[in-house]
Amino acid sequence: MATAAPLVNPFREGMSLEGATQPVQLCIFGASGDLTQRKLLPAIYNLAQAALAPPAFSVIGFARQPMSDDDFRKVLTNAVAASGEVRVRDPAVLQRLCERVHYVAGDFHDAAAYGQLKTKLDLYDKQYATNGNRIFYIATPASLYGDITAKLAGAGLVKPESPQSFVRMIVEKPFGRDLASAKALNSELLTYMSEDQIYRIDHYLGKETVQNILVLRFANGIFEPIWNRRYVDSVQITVAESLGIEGRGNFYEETGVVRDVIQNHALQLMSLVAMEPPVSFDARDFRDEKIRVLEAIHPIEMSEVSKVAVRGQYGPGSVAGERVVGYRQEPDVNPQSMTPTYAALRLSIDNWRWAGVPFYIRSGKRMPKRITEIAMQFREAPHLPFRKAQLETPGGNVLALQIQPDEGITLKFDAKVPGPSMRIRAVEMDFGYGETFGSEDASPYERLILDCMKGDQTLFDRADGVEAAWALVDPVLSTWDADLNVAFPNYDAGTWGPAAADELLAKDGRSWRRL
Amino acid sequence: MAQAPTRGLTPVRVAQIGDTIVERWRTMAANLDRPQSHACVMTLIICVEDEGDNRFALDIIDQLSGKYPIRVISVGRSDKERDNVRAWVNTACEGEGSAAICSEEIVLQAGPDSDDRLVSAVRGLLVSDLPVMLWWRGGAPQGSALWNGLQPLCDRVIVDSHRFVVADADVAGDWKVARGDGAAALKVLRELVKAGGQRVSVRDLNWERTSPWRGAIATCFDDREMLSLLSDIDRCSITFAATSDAEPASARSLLMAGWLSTRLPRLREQSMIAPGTAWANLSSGRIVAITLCASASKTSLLLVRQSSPTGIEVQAHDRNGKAFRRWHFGAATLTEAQLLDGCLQTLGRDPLFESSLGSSL
Repeated sequence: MATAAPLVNPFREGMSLEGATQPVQLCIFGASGDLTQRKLLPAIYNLAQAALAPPAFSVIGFARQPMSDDDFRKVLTNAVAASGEVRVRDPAVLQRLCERVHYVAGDFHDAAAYGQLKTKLDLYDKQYATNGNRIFYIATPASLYGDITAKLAGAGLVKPESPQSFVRMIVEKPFGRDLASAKALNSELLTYMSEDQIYRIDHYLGKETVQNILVLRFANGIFEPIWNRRYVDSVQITVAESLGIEGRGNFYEETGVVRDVIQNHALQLMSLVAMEPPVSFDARDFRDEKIRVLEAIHPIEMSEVSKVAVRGQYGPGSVAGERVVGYRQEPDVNPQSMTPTYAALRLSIDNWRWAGVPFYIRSGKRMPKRITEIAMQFREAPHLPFRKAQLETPGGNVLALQIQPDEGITLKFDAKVPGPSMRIRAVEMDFGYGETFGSEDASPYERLILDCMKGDQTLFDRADGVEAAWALVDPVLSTWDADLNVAFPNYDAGTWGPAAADELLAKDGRSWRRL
Repeated sequence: MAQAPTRGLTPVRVAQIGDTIVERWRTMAANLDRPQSHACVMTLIICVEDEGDNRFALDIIDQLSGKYPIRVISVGRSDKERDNVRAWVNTACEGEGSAAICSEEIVLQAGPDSDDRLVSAVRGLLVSDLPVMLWWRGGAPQGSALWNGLQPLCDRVIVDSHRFVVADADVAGDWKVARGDGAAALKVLRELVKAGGQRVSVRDLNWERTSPWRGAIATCFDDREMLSLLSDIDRCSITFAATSDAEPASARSLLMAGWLSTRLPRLREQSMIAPGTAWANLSSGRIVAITLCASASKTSLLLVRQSSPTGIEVQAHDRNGKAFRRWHFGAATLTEAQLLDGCLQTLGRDPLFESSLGSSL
């Protein structure tokens, strides 16, 4: 039997589609937690303030802690007041949002609590005319994802109530703690939901400047022709934090730098910079290409780990003029901990574009400064008609894409120093996003929650992408877990990591960029 | 020495404008003791009516200065000037460090007979290879030598059909007379769009003023139940603020009707536009209420401007007149800076505006 074509709102045609168009109910699991207060509630308020959230919209918090609707509204009000990410504080907007905020208390493991939740969600769905559209934001420890999904399914909450309505779920990283657990989790979620219902969030992909890597590469004709092994000598990706673990000792002891940054953020950056041009920027084409390049990264054999990977852990030192303790002296950290706070990897990609081009990735805590950048080091000119002695700085062009804190693009090239002699000096040409577009950009959570409301999965991880990333780092994790024969701490806080990381590049005749 | 027309502007000879601006940036960089880079995304030419209008326009630009690094060239006639062109410049940055947005302001004034000299000065001050926008703050521009000189330099012109009030004597050539904020203003607007052709896109601040109403209607029909009622809707009425029952339909209400009929062609013959004297305290021409009705099912959607809290209040009524859906949308009135911002954000043509204008007869 032929099905009727879905009705289309003709008034939307030709209008900006920035806002979420479908009425929706957003249910936050872990509503009393830190992430909800620091990131999610300010992001939801910003969406309402910018009129990007639909008018038919409600927020329901769900957590174990007993709280009334009014208590949760106070949490929202305080979160908006305290957040540095809120751009315009409008009491009328906050008031209207508060009127649509509710709270349901319940144990995540208690099936009966989900029945009560369903009763409330159905009630608010009618009250706010959200058409049965639901988003579950799972902001809980990852160990609960599977159980929560199963219990939501058991309560009949994961199936859309009609062909026109939707149910989506956003899950936070870390998505698993190794390849086996990530596969098990994917399998569990996919038992109850389809892939197009699951939105695995990595907030790095919500950053404007990360998305701009794609625009730089694929909207400008001048870069793509030189974006390959013929012109690129090497690529360096740095994700450095000047902060330590900020009181999250328990979390970090279980995680370490590879699970915290390399497996997700750093590999996301690498895939964006190395991927082939997608046919379109829709979710399937874009994620296909991103995952394809992850799968093309040469697998690291356990026997090779010591040659291509370096780990480190910071000891006491000074950062920005302040003395700081070493990792092992941080609260909730084992004084004999072998958890790495620094890692450097040398990766290569087995495809025509990148064969032979090393990708060096480093990330660490307590580095001299906070900086995230991707630097494309171009090959030197094949012949220099100038005497080397007249070069004041080493040659070679570098295109650096800075992600944070000062988003921008820098091109380093050589120029003649004015004067009668032929002296050459490296200069930098800067482009700063802040100088051009101001600093009004939305927070990554704002962007990604909005994308989920719109049903756009482009900037979310897919199951095979998550597994490809874990497959890559799994041998490193296994090797390091098994081999505790390393002298930690091996770098002082406030330095750029262990000497072995410098040697990793020195073996190839290269060095890390001085940042 | 000429008197600076607004704060922060320094008088300068026209031939020295470029060098003066470069020198100002150098001085700023030296004072900061570090290399100073600044971006520029477009040249915005503002054609002002008089010195008061120049101050008003530059105040609006100030409100957007944290958003657009631009070169602004304000151009106006002054009875004080005779056969010369006077110039003032200013450079300023908002924000600090890598988030600083820097802009350049140039004010040019000349006597009433020096339009050609103003245009020649502007031509030499355009930032190379970047988009050029013209914000025309006067009435219907056709026939103006300044318009004829500046329009060919631009990629986009921004006008306000609300201001298209001209006396017969001001109109030259083949252009038709526009009188008041109504059908005649839209006729002028259509001629501007036609004259711009494929090269110059035209935007109208009056059209931007309808965007909160268009957004509200679109959002109401995002609701599935409302969308299912859409096929029944066959009539609409638009009420605009007026001081008398005899006032003709305003340009805004005509544009709104045009937009509705492009969305639902059956409304073309079933649109009613009426003056609303109950809102005489508002400036004339503003849309104050819109009703979409379904004859068969007797359902309706009523949108009304509300002053407290400000915004648009919307109710959907069933056949018994009972409200089954309510919405509130903030900010029914956009500021001049917001309207201009809407016009500066994109460069290309706006097919929705052009089709609505075409259907607003």
